[in-house]
Amino acid sequence: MLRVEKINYEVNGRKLLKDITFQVRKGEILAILGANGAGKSTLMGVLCGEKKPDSGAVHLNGKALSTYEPAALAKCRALLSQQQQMTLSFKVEEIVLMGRYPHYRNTPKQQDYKIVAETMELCGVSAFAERDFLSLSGGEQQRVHLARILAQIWDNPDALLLLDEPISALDLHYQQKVLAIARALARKGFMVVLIVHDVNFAAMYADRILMLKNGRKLFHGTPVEVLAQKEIYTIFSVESSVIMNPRTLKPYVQLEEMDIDLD
Amino acid sequence: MLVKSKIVELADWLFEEEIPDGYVPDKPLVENRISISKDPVHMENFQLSTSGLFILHSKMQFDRPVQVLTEIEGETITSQFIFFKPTDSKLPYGMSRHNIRYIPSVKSIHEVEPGIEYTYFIAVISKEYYLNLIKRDSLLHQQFVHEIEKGEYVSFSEEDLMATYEMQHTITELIESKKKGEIRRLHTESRVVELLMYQFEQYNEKTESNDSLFHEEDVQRLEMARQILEQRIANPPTQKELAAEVLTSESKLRKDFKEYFSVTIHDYLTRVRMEKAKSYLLEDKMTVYEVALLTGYGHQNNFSSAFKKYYGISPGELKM
Repeated sequence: MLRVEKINYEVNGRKLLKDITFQVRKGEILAILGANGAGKSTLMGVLCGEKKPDSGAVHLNGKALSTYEPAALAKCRALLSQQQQMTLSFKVEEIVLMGRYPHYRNTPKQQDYKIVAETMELCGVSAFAERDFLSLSGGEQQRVHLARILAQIWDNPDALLLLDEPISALDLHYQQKVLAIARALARKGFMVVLIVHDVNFAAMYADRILMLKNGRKLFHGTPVEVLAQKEIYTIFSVESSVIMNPRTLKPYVQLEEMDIDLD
Repeated sequence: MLVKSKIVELADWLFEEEIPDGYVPDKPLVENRISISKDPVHMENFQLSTSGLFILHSKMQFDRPVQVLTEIEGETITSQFIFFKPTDSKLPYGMSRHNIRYIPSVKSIHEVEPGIEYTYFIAVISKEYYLNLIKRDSLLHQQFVHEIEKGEYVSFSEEDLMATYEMQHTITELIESKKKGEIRRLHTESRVVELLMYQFEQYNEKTESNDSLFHEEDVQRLEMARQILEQRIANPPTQKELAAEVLTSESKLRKDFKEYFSVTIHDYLTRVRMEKAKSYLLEDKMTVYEVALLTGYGHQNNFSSAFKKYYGISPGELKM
């Protein structure tokens, strides 16, 4: 279980996160929604241990995040971050294999190659295995990174998977596929926390939604509970209407057209 | 009490209201909507006064910086909100701050700037009326009442807080109500109480958030309580029984549960029941009758109305 308790995070007196409490249990997908600058990525940074909160605590599987050795932590949580800088030329397979670094000493074992092959296949990048990473399109690069971080925790179903806008550069097919992969992993026991912008993807794939505004947790519940006109307006300042899909019992958010007058 | 306000640079008072402190049964409630547009001021005002209470909601813009003078005579408690955003901003809300203050007569001057749209809301409540609305011994404002008794200017919250959606919504309801007569008075009173509640609540949450983390034993109790609820939806324990099972008091369990899971025990049980109902209906293709029994609603009608309340559609409207 991931237990986040009363997290506060400040930079130069600005409260980027304020009093955030929630839990993610094995098998659960939590989607974090919020406007730009609401604190979503900051929260991800805290969850992965990169950022130390000013107060509050994060426990992963019963142990405070701050007490993990880096190598041990790498085996039980993986982060796909929003920005991935990669300027050196590597082959795609080499990059995915980097996900296995925490697991072997000098040379990768058979098991590591097997896992790399599986995650590459799943993310649809096997065909590029030998290609130079820098020659790929943005969406293909995003999938390679996903394959890398999946490889990192593939054999540990108690692990936490953190996905910061995993589908931002992907086409429709892969947007769905990546979220479906996240859900399939959750059903195997993984904990998944994901940031998405599309409220309807959150409604479709997440078990819980946490809505942030100004670093504060405003709404937190099931998609049915939190995806309503009022809440969506509060978070995103957009007009919408929400209808219930009678086949899936999942809410569907229809946005109203927005007009801007340039005069 | 007497409330009045003017722009220092102009001769006329913007408004001047004399309001009786105590509740007078037959004193009518008076509403006024005024627009003022004369250099350098543009204002859309809504005023409401009745015994013990004065409300002003004002949208203001200024062509140049001016000073606004406000005078209040008599012991009052005020709930003040200021919303401000650049005039050219298309967003419905900008920044905001609010507080509750005890003011034993005051004269204050605020400077306002051009190019900013201010929305000012103030509810001026006589001390007598305030203590009537919120019980003197209420835990919510114990400290505040203590300070009021000293007769010195005091703010409920040390620093101004940001208005929440609930507060804005309540203010809108107060201003836009079409109700008339005695009903309008009741409506106004209930909304003012509601607004004060939101302000207290936010302040209390704020101070409590500095509290230490949950004890490990308490977390275990809460997790156990959650599991009990999940496993026994067909015949759930009462909150009292639940508290006894996890060896804590009912009030502590309620408070901790809400804080830790951000949902009340009651709403959590509803959530679990509804999620179960969903999979029973959609995946297991059970009948509404069966699902009603399995989720502990007993009668089918109780289940159907709870289902409709949660999902917005009734089980009969599902498409299989």
